Order: sequence, then structure tokens, then C-alpha cells
Amino acid sequence: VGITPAQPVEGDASERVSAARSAIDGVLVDALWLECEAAGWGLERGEFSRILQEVGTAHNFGLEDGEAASRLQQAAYFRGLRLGDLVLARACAAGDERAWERFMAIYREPLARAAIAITGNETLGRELADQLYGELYGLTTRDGERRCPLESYRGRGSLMGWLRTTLAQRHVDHYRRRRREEPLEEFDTPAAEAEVGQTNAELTVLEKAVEEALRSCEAEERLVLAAYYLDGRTLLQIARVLDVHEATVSRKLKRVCEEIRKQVVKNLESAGMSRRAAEEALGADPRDLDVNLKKLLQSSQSDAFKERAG
Amino acid sequence: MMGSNPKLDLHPDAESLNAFAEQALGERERGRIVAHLAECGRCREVVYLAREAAGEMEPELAVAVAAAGRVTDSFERKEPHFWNRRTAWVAAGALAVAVTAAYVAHVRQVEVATEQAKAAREAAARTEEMAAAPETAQMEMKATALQAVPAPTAAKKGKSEATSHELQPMTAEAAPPPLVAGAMAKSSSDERALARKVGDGFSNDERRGRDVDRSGQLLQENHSRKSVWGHLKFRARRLELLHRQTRRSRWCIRRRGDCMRQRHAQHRWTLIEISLVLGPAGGKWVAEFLPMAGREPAALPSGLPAVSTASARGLTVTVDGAGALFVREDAGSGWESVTKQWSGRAVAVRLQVSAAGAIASSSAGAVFEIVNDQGKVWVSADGRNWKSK
Repeated sequence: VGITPAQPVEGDASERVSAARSAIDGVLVDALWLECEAAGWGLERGEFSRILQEVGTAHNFGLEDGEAASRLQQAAYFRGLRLGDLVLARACAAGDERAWERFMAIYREPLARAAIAITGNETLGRELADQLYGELYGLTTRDGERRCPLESYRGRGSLMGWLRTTLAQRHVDHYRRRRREEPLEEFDTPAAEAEVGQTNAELTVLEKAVEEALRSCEAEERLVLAAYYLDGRTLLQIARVLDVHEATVSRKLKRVCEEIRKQVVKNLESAGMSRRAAEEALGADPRDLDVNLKKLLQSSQSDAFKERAG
Repeated sequence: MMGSNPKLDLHPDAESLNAFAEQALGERERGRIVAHLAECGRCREVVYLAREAAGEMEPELAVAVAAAGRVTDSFERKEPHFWNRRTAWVAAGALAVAVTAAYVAHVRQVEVATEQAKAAREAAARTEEMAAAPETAQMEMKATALQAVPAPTAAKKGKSEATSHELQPMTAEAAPPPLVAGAMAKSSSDERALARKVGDGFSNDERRGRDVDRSGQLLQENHSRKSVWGHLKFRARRLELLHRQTRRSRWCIRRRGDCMRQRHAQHRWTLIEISLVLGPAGGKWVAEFLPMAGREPAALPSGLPAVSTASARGLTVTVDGAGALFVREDAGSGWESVTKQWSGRAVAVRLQVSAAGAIASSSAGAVFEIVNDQGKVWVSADGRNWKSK
């Protein structure tokens, strides 16, 4: 492909300046290329190095934005990736027949099982899996170009995990889209504006106090709260997602509730309420805040992804 | 990072969510995903579903990968052969090391047992020879003999520096805490002051005779050592359950009721180790305690750290770093300074021991001894009035 093994890999001319900062060592590319046996899947060294460049620069080799990665940092980053899965995925995306044979041998049945587990229905599961296969084969095109979702796989995490997550995304999006399109069968009666004995002003103060208290929570605390109270997930399910013990989630949940309660009372007091009035406004059970929590947590997306979206 | 669907551009893509679920993200990016998940029900749902599906599929996937490896032999990696061979070598090496270590441990155990028996015989012989010797000499000899006999678990280094005193000869300069049969002493020479209790029985008083018999049998039948050791460990666990030991833990062990009544005493100790010492006269157990954190004894009036402390008859006598002596009653809240009645600088205080190895118990007899920096000894019954020995 016109690139000698020891030669650093560079991108297009327009990106040459930025790429030069993170050019991958040719020796490292050679070593990884041989280790992955990428040639066996039809990936030449040049193509392989281009993939590495794309994967590495996509997340700046796991470093902060703007920070230049040293050769050792690059090597450490690539060693942490599932390069075997990455090579197979890219070979499939490139249409290599042997790669597809391998892919089907490994992932066909597990993928169908995953789809059935996600949908909870065999028919729907098979349908979902077939639909994803269609996309993976590149049956969909964009701007006249064949698109394969496997090109977006970058080796962080397993390929099977990526397939499962993609299936879950498709299912959730499909379910949500279908729910939006369904006509409302009955008219939801609006919730009562205010509880007995509480004025709108008090509710506004309470809502503000709860909002401030929630804002002071850390992201993981808000995630646990939302998962438990909004999604109705069990402690075990939350623990699996966060990779901690179930008891840890339980303790965290209890502590966060207590802290929020204290913070809300404090906020109410600073808003002019007496402590007794603040306690009464809050109620005895912190879970009384459920409605406000839902409203507050679901109202906006995180700032981090807003920035990326812009 | 973002998905290809513009409508979903506010969400992390499948790769990021999967990397999060598989704990493959760095701290910074994980924080961003967590922040997003906290606010996005859709992505939480995706992660839950993918995670739950993963739990049902792992074994199946492993089988599929193995099967695929068999059918695609043209692309089999060569590394497995190399790794298999290397793994075999590593396993063989580990086995050889384990066998060698076991042999060395066995040899060492035999040596230790031989040394124990030899030291015990020497101690007994010296006891007989020094029967008419002054009482102090007897006490020091006995303490040295006890120290020279290593406890089975004393080989576990690192728990306390004071443990390393056991095999060192006892001198007036070093003045380690005396090991007195049936009594307890502690050294405050460092912050992790260690209290040690040596007893001649294994349980409460009514079982004492039988236990001594059992320990005597131990010397002849080595195989029963395990059962006695188990008994001691059981008792250690029982003591740990109490978790509050006073300086008079001698009585706590023998009479648990006393211990419970003394729960709120000022000094509390945590049992860290209980070990068995074999001697010619039978088995002895050694219990070692550390003061519980935050429950250190009240500071001395001099402001200096205590270097040596002994307790008996409800009295605690201690020497600070400057050689000043202080006494305190158990129920008292503060230290009382003792007028100097000795020459030189006091470096240690200890309990006096009778020829039979028991703490002096007569009301008129001396209980405490202090040793000055020249090795001279003074005795006292109340810790306040001292006379030269």
C-alpha cells in the first residue's frame, strides 16, 4: 500500500497538522497488526493503521482533549482495546467473506438470544435480530454509500456487548417511537394543583428547595435515585450497571435520601420557613419527593452531551 | 461518540454505553456517561436491557467462540500453543516452589520445636539452681525463660513491634514488659502499646486443673495440640466479641461477669492474638492486647509519653520518658505524681512475682517494682511509698 512498516501513519492533507501530533509509531502498528492477524481478515497494514489512527484520535487515546499522546500512552491505549474484535468488525464492515463466516459462527445465535431477552418475546426478538443483521450487512445506504454500523465499533468493550447495546438501543427507540404514535385511549386527569393545606407559594418554595438539593447531588447519586425511584429498578439491577455490590447501592441510596432531606429542610429554612413548617412541608418519607424528582431529573439532558451535540 | 441518528445525538453511542457497562472507560468519560444516565431514562433503559441480556448469554457466547475457533482452523492463532506450553512450565515451576516451601517449613517447624524444648529444659534447670537466689533474679530468669520460648503464632511479624521483644534477653536498660504468669503488663514505649497476658490455665477456674492436664498431655502427644489450639482460638473469638477489655483483663478472661461490669472502665483493649506456650510445667497461654483507638490512657501530668506501666490491685503505676513516676487508681480520673524516693532515673515499672510465678498477693507484700537506669530495684505495695530492694 506504499507505506513502509516503520513509517508513521498520517491522515489526509487537511488533517496533517493535527494528525502529526498523534501519529502512531510504525513499529507499534506493525506489532499490533501481526498480533491481531489482521492480514487473515483481509486488512492490509495501511488499512489497519488507518483504523488505529481513527480509533485513537476519536478519544484522543483516552487522554484529555488537546493533550498529545506519547508512544507509550498510545501503546497502553491500544493494548486496552479489544483489537481482535475490532479487526473482525472492520473486516465485516469491509465485506470480507471469511470475516462474516467467523462473525456468524460466533455471534449469530447469541445475538438472537440477546434480542429475545431484550424484547421478552421470541418472535419480536428474532425480528429485531434480523433487522440488525440487515443493517450490519450494509443493506442501508446513506448519500449513495453503503453504511455498516460495525464501522462505529472502536474496540472499547467487547463486540458482543456492543451488539447487545445496539439491539437494546433499537428496541428502546422503536418502543418509544411506537408509544408516541399510539393515540391516547383516555384522557389523563391532571394532577391536583396543590395538596390540602398547602398553598401554591409553599409548593413553589418546596419545589425550589428540592431542585437545589438535587442539584447539589453528584451524578452517580442522581443516577441511583433515578434508577430506583423513577425506573423502579431493583438494587441488584442498579448494582450490576454500576459494577458494585447490591449492599453498596442500598447504603448509597439511604445516605443520599437522608442528605437530600436535610438539604431540603435547610433550603426551606433559609427561604424563611420555621424548622417545624419545613418538616411538615417535606413530609415524613423522603419518597414523597418522587413527583418532583421525576420532573427535575427528566427535564433536561446533561450539559456534557449538550456540548457534544452542539 | 454520538450516534448516527441526528435525533439521538444527545445520547452516547452504543460503543460508549457498552464500554461503560463493561467498565472499560476512563474516569473522566465514565463521569460524563454517569451524568448523562442520571438524566436520561432512554439510555438507562438501554444499559439495563443490555446488561440483563449479558447475564443470560455469557456461557453461551463462550461456547460459540470456542466452536468458531474450531471451525475456522485456517485462522487459528499460533499463540495458544505457545501459551499452553508456557502455562505448563509455569505450573510445574509453581509446584516445585510449593514443594520446596513445604519442606523448608517442615524443617523449620522441627527446629523451632527442638529449640522450644531445649529452652524450656534450660529454664527449668536454672530455676532449680537458683532456688535460693534473690527474688528479683528469679523473676527475671522466669521472664527470660518465658520470652525465650516462642509462641506458635509469635512468628507472625508485623503485628506489633513489641512482639519482637520476645526473643531478646531482658536487660534493665531495655526493660521490656515483664512476662508474668497470671498477670498482665504493658509497655508504652511506642504508640502501639502492647498489653500481654500470660496465663497458666486455658479457661475459667473450675476447668483449670483439667486444662493443665490437657496441656501436660500435649507435651507427650503432639497430635492433640491442634484441639487445644482450637480451644484457644475459640476463646479468642469469644473475647473479641466482648471487644472491651480493661487493664484487669486477667479477670475478664476468667470471670466474664466482671468484664461486663467493667465495660465503661477507662482503658479498653482489643485482643489481637492469643497463643500457646509449651513449657515443662504445662501449657501456658499468652494473650496480647492493643489499646482501642481513641481510648488511650489519660495523658500524664508531665506531658511526656509513658515508657512503662504496670497494673495490680486496682492501681496503675507508670514511668514517663523523664523517669518520673505516676500512680492512679482504676476509679480515679487523673494521675498522681509520686515523690522521688530512688536514685538515678526510673526506666521501668513491673509487677513483682513470687517464686511460684504468681503475682504477689499478700496485703503487706510488695507488688510493684521500679528499675532505675543503673539496674537497681525499688519495691512498693501501693505505688507511692518505695524502698530499696
